[in-house]
Amino acid sequence: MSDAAGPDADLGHALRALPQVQPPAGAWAGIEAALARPARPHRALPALALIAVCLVAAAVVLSTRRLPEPVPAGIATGTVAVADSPRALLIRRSANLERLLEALPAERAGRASTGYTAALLEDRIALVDERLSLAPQQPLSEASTEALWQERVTLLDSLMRVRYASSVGRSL
Amino acid sequence: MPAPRIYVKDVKLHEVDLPSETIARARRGERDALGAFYGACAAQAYTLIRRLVPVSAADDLLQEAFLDAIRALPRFAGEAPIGAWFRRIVVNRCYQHLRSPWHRSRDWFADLVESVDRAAPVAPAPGLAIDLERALQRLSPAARLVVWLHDVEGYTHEEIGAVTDRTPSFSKSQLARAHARLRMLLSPPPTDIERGAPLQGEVP
Repeated sequence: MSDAAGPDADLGHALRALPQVQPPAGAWAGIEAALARPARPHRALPALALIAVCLVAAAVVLSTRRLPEPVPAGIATGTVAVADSPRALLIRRSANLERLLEALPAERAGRASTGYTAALLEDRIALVDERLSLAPQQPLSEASTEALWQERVTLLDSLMRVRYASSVGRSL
Repeated sequence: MPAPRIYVKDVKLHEVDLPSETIARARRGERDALGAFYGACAAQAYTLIRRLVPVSAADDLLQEAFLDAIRALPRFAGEAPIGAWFRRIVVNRCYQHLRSPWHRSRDWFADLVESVDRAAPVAPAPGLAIDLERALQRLSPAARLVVWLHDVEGYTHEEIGAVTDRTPSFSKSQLARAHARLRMLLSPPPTDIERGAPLQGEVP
């Protein structure tokens, strides 16, 4: 199945000899519990529930945006400095926006212009992600990394607004 | 139902097979047969997942992969061993995880937090296995996926390209870089002589 072995065969042999890792003790119980739960309905949420979800998501976004920018913790070092850095805050905001986007109802056919705008934003987010994912191979300066994360947050925020407006428009 | 016994055997996941009667009962959702499927594949599947994705995501992915498989069992044709069929599900789940922007951000952030530990050189350890595991974790997710699928699971570059939606050339270049990096990480630190440092008593 595999290609012909080369000079790295010894490395491959060592990798294959690595020990097995035992799954966590409660894994099967978790699977059984998930199987016992009824499957999630595929039908769209009723309009009122949809609006409620959108309103909650919007409220969280707005409250997040009103928060003052936390000040980096002085001259902290090590992991504390990483955890409190502006970049770490941008990463957290980015993750929060991703969660909110996931909470919105799935996209359906809507106005073509809205769909096009959302697609453009998603493409730009993908480009930012691509650049960030290449960082291990093509290191970025701290300023460039932070700028990319800032752009990601801005794009996600815009996408959130487009998707939210589209969802509310369909529900009313 | 008590937790099924997990069989730790020197068998790769894609070689695991079950009697056709057990598979038929598992398709009907009988819990003891599903437990037998779990017991036969769990250790190998979890090992595969742990090698491909960060440990923080491994438990969730194991559960999701088994749930995917159990729900898809009625469509399992039985032409290949059930382990080979399940391995495809596991690998796809892991790849979906790695390419998801949200998970990539989270993993990347976890990497940042652990950067102090990761920056430390790989210290000589009693066993090569420990060194190798640590070195493997220092590869990028894409490189780790390629090296593991190729060297351990026996995937060809064409098959890796199909999984990752990339070309076989991408897989080949990733593999070459991953091997070089692993060798570099595993090589012992240079001695004073190799570094050209003055020997004791020698005038620099």
